[in-house]
Amino acid sequence: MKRFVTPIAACVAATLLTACGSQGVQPNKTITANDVVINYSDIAQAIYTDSLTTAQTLKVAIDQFVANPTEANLAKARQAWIDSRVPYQQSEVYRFGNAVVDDWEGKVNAWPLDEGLIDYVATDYGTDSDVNPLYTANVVASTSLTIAGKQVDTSDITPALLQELHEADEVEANVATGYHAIEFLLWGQDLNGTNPGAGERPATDYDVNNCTGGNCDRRAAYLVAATDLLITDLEEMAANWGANGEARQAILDQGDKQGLATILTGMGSLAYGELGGERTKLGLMLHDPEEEHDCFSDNTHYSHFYDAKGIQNVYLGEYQRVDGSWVKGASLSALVSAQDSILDAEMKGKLENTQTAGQAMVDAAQVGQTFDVLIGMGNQAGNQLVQDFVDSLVAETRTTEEIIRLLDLEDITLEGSDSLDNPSAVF
Amino acid sequence: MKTLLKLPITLLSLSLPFAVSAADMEKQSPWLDTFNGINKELISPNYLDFSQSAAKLSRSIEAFCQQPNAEKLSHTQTAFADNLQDWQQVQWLNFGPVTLFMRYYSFEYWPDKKGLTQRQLTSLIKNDVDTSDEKFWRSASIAVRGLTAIESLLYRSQFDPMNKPEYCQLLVQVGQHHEQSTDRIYQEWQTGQLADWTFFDEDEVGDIVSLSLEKMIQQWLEHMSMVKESKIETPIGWRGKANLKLAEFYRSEQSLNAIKQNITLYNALYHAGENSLYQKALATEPKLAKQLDESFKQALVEASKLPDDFYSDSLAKNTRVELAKPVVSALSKAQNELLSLVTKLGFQIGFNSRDGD
Repeated sequence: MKRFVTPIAACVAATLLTACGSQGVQPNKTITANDVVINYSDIAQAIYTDSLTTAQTLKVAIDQFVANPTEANLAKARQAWIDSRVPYQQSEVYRFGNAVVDDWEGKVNAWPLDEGLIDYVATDYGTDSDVNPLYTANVVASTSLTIAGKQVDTSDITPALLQELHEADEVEANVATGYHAIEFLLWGQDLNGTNPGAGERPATDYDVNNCTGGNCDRRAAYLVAATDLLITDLEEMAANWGANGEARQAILDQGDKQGLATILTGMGSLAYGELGGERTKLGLMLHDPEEEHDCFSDNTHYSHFYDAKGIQNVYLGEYQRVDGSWVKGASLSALVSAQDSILDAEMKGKLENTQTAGQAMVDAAQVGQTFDVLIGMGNQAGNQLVQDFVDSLVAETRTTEEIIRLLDLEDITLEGSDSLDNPSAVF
Repeated sequence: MKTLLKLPITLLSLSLPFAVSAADMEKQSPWLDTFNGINKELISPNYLDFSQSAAKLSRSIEAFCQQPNAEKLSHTQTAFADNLQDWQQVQWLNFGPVTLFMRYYSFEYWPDKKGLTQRQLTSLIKNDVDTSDEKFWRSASIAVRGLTAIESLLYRSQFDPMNKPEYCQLLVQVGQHHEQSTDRIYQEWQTGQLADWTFFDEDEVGDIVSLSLEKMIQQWLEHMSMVKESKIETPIGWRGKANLKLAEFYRSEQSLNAIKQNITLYNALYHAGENSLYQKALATEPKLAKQLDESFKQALVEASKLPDDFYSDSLAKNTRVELAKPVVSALSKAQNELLSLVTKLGFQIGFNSRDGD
């Protein structure tokens, strides 16, 4: 689903717009568009490096848990997973505009998934899907699978096998790799519906001497292989934003205007179509816990918060690393301010509003009102809290569009969403 | 593109009932006759048809569930198909009362790639949710309302309303809510005013009729994309793997009929009223106006050539794609011409939110 900000579209309300002319990208005294793009790339490198190091920490915790599958070690592994989401979610603003990231992202953060592909599921999950022949394939319990008419040997669960199974049979919901596959293996299904509570997979699901759920050795092999693969994938992306990395080079080669267009495409698409629409508003329309991004761990409040934080980072040209240090440099904010300080202040305000709305969801989660509870049918206060977050994302997207017009950037395509493209809808 | 920052129109003189034109508006909007033509000839009567067939469907469901048998099930399925066809006549319009309370999305939740309707309907029964309570329907998931839910309950073998009274009772409740929704939309469309639904952007000027018509044309164009991409290309595997279960209303085998209904409506929209879009276009863009007229007719001709088993497993994927090409091509041509024409007539069509799905 796309929204096209074409020259025609941008000027459609011509009498109210002030920047449909040819102002172009004008450097101020100290900041140029190229400076902004370079700093944007530096932040990307820092974020993906932090994602990598936190994934490596996760791997240590998982190795310890698999070696000694106690509830305490499971809790540590889960906390390491939650910690690893902090930098990664802030990287999502690099999607949509950067082809190198877009082509890669599905391997690490694909969502939603049919978890029955991976492991056992409750009976409520069902046994078949109109779309997915592998809906309940259960790799953990199967040493062989038939995929699209071909026999696949799944006796050894390795990173290579998981890569082969990922999006098997051309079904996107067959997510065999990445954060959410690991999340499912750590938490299991959340069977609480829209009531409080996350997945409650017992540590004994990994205890070969006291095994619950069956195939504990294979489950452990899956968890380790998926985490190894996540690290490999993050190594690749961190390198892509390094000094001579493919992603960095690609955006630098685009030139000033296209480089800025790439940055703004990521900001607008994540805020509007992906986060505001598919991950949030749709949940309100369906009141379904399956619409929760981190649905096994109930960590969605933080995932959404840090997604939004990533957008703010890119606009302000700064990022606080997991060690507490900062990466700061030439910002889009400064570039905009040089031409229209009022618009820059408006954008900063909108981004802050989104942070406030995101923080409200985080605060609610701390007292048991996690995202799946908030979107529950009849939870009017919770629904409103989520709606406030959506509204703030929509509002910041509108200002993003004004910035696009101010900078005279053409042919930008922002991701849209069915659930948002009808603004008259009332809950 | 319109931003979402909206200001309600405050001048009462700019309020226009859907059904009755305000005298002062006739002087102000060059598109009033066209708007009224579409409203009087298509939207109002089509909403009436939709609500009346929904009422018939609801009565039929009630009769069936009081005394389930094969004959009454068949009768109910026919009533469902009739109501579905009426839905296809208003499906293009996501504007006005249908936008309230997620009604538009509730009439049809499709494609349901995750099987939410099936799962949520099952959950309602399992958790003994009181669906007779109006409060439930005020905030119910869009996946358990409207035609998608009714089709699922009527045609999915696991629900088997003939032998499972709990699901039959749920079917009754969904049917009654659907009936109420369609009736309310029809009533609200009669009594509502354009100012209730159309808002100007900050500092935007213009007349409300033209702006409303512009929104409708936008949705017409987007609906054409939906027919091409979601109804035809995706299920037959135009660009990827075929999955006929992704076709619209495939369980009730209404997918092809729906497409033909949609294309027939496009032609009717173009010609609605004494001062139709076609007539207006003829005055300033005669060549393009006639070209578009031909294109709509051609699209219907091509759609009519599709065999009845187009969405069945009996055809090979490549065969289906080859059969679909003339229809998709004709629709694309008509869509491009419509966009070009309305742009020349002064409408600002910003973006097509369905493009690129």
